Amino acid sequence: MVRANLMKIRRRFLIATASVVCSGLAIVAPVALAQEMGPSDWLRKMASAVQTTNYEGTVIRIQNGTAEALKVVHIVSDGVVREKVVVQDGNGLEIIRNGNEVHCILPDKKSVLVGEWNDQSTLFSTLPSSDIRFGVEYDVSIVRKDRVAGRKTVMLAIRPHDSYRYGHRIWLDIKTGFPLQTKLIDANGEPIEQVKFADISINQDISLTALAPSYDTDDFRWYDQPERDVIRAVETDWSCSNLPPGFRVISTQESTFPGAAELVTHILYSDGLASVSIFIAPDTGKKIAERSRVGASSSFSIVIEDHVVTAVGEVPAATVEQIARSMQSN
Amino acid sequence: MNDGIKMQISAFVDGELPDNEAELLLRRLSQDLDLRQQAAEYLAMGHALRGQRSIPGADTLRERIAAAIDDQSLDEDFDAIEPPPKRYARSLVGFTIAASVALAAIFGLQQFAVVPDLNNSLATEAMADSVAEEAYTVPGQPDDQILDYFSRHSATIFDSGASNINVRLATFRLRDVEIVAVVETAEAEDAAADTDVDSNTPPERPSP
Repeated sequence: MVRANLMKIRRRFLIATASVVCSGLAIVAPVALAQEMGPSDWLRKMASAVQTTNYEGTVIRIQNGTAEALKVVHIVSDGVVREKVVVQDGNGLEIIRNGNEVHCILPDKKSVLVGEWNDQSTLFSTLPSSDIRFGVEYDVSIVRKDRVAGRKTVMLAIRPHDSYRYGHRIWLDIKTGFPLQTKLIDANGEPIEQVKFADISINQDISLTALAPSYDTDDFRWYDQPERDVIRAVETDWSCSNLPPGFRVISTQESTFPGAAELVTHILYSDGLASVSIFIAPDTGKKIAERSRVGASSSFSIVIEDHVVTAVGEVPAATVEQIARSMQSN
Repeated sequence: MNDGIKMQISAFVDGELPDNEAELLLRRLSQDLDLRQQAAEYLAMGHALRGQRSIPGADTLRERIAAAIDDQSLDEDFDAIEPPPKRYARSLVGFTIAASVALAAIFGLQQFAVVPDLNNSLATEAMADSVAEEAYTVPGQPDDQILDYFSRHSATIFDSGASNINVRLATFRLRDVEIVAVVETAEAEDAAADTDVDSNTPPERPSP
């Protein structure tokens, strides 16, 4: 009888212990965390992680079967971003950032270009902006748990409701919220471009020496980046009569470009995630390519009312064409 | 018809298929009637999606296949295909874009590709004669203007906080293009250094 009671007590203790352990796991385990947090929570966490995370690793960028590797070291201390990006293929370009000052080192040219970048990271910026109109132009959802660069991730999908814009897939590190992989997806579900870490160390001690240039640049030629032209905010009579749903004017500016005296009006449209710039310049008769691409970005140019109207953006070619063709002066 | 053939056809129409691959494609199409019909349907769908009356690249393809099989009636096969109903537009536009992007040139200078003016029938003959030349690898004057626009667009969206990772990387490459351009200028200055030392003094090295 006593033995039976002891057995019962022991069993209850084991069950109770197991329950405590399990409930503890349920609170702290990343899997459970992934289930508790909604997509918006994850995006907020990612936005914070991108700005505060120290990391070191290898990034693979894949576009249409072409892959390139970049070694990245990124440290944030006292609010200042220090970063080194080394392209592993081709000319071995190195980008060394200290705050906003950036040195681009071209070892094959024995040259250094000094520039100023005002965003937080060479590879990542805050994605997406907080005012993205989820539920209107995009749906965001948690798709599944996955594994990237040896770490547990949660995969988010940002799906557009129409073919005016691209979709996104983002794999976030469950522990930190840091994006370990991103994909840009076309309307057919095919990846246009993806970026992923092959390996990464997050928030480990990174020596400042890891940020030093790989080359002795003392005998390199140094070049200052040309100063940006004066840009000022203006009001404009130009507007788009057939703007895709969700896009709205973010800013309107006027500026000049290198080698040209005429003022160019620049209107930026955005749906919170995708953005399209419209450049309106007087038609000087100079030939300009009607359609062109850079990476996943497209452009379309057309002459309207004696002005060359050019739309540029990381949206499908049909979108920039529609916006450009719909511009009119009031 | 598999995606590889579709991509090759897209590339041909866009003037971006290397000569050797174009010859191979023409040979396959000239020897396979079913494939020709599927290609015609595919082109008709792309045609409808782009909302264009004619595609010079497609005309060139038709003419070259006809020449290969010595059959002018091929024109009717291509012309007889009606564009698909508009309800297909959404899913097909994705493929069209993917195929086009898939054929974009390699990064670096070659990444900056000019898509041929599909509405300009004058471009048709040039495409037939020299397909490869349509993807410009070295920015000319018009391309410089577009490049400036891409750069300004990227800089502006960073300022407004509406940027994303992929744009960032595109800009990363844009800067590479800019750097190359600057260095080329510097080399030209180097060449003139013997005669004009003062104008070729590089700027003082800024502190990192």
